[in-house]
Amino acid sequence: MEKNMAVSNDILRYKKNKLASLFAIGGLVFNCLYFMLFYSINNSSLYKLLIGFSVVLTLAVLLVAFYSSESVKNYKKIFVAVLAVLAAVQIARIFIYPLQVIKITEELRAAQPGGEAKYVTFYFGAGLTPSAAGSLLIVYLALSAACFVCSSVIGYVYATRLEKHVKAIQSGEIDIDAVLKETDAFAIGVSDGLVDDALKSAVTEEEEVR
Amino acid sequence: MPASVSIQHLDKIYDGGVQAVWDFNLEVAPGEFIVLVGPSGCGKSTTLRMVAGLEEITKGKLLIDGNDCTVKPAKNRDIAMVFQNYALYGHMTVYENMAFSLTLRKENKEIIHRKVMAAAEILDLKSQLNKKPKQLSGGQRQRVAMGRAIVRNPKVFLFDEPLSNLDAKLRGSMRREIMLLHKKLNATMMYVTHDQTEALTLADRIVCMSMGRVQQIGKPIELYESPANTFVATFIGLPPMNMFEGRVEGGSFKCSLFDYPLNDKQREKLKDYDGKEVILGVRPENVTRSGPVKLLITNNENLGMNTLVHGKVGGKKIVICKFAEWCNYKPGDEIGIGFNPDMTHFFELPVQEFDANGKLVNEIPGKAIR
Repeated sequence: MEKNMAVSNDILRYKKNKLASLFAIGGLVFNCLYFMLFYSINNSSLYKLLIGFSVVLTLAVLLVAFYSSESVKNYKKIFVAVLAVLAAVQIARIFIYPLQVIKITEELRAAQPGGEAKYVTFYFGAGLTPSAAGSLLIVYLALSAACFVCSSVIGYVYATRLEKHVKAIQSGEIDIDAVLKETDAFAIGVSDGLVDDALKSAVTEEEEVR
Repeated sequence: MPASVSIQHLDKIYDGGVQAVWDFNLEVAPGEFIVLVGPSGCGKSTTLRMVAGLEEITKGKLLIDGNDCTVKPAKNRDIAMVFQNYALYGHMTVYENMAFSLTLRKENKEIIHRKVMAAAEILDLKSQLNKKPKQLSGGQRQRVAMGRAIVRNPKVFLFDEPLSNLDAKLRGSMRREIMLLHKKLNATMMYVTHDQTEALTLADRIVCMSMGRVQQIGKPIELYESPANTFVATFIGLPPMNMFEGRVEGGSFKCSLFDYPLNDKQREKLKDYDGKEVILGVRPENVTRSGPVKLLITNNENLGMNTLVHGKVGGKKIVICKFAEWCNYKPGDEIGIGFNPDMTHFFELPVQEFDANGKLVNEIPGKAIR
């Protein structure tokens, strides 16, 4: 069946943007995984400002990401920008801690050859060296940022499509009812146009009976 | 294209041995609107559920459009059912509820949209598509349930008391909508109700059931004017038919309360019953305001277009009369009533069946004498 853009766009009026929402939730999940690893690395040491800062940042990202996911689901364009900002925050976080871990590991390796093999943490039952932990932290943040970017782009594309479609309907540029009837694939026993005819005749008959 | 349904010798026996349906036979023509009517527990819903595939068929055969569906799973029968309690998904919008079955089938999104929009137009639900079921009225919810059935384009529509949860006014308007829907779709529909008004107004043919057995199948007017037995006579019609037990003797109907002379036509009809016990039935609207039977009035209800008069004959038998005129009888008044001879019905006495312990197991309603 040939794709009709007006009909495709009209679907957006009744369906939520679940794909964009799903990507936003994906970003949120990777952020959680990042924090789990981050906390497992820093758990054994004394609590410091870095942990407190990271907890606050993670909570903020989680809350904003969840709210944004619900909003892009409803085609709210402003939250496309919020998700883009979240993606930027996640990329920025790569430079705050994970790269530091790798840098310290490199320094350790230079000072004490073979020292880097010592596990820094156990994560999901597997031992992680400092360099592996640092790399995984970067991967999580990068994936989280990528998800937010995808969500943002998809949210923007669909929200724009819907906006244009609604404007076209409101301005009379598109008569969606006519479009739906023109190419009616409604095969429930009544073919195109006959819906109205059948309805009219049925109503007339009913009035006569009354 | 609407499908035919053939139900042959259907029995339903539950695990405990209770038989809910006995030898049910019915041929439904394509596009026909069949209403199964009867009191609660008569087996009408069980029969419908067997057609839907929600209940196993113990014995018998079910053909839908010529295909044997006796043991086919419900999902492969190509039928759609509308339930009394709507069975809508509360977390989905109206649109999503209506599109759900097609989404499961992985249909093209555009096709789904067209079908949902067309169904929404027919059911006047276009402005409600983004709402959740809890935001809708009972009538609107039922329309959504019907919409969900329509979009599937099934061979047969099944309705299980769809209007029972609605108030009287809404029920009336929904009834008209179902009538229009049937005309528009020209689909084969089977509809279960205990409300005889729904049955009489909607059906092409009515199947009247009692105690798991079919009592009569026919057009609404046939059931009303020529009931097959005492059950149909008393069940169909509001107020119900007045029944008098008596004996045919010497050209008149004699009961303990009155003697009623029979005309030639009635005598001819009852020629084989002379000296035997029969039941005389007369609908309230066929009671006339003059005649040999004395009625002691107990209540007078003016309904505007007619008057319902309740009274007792012989001090015990309660009789309801429906007079076209506005009447002002008072309790205690006594009037003479008669029966329109062309509209009286005669029935044989009901037959009661007992088990070995003397417990009543079945009562066969008295057959109409024609």
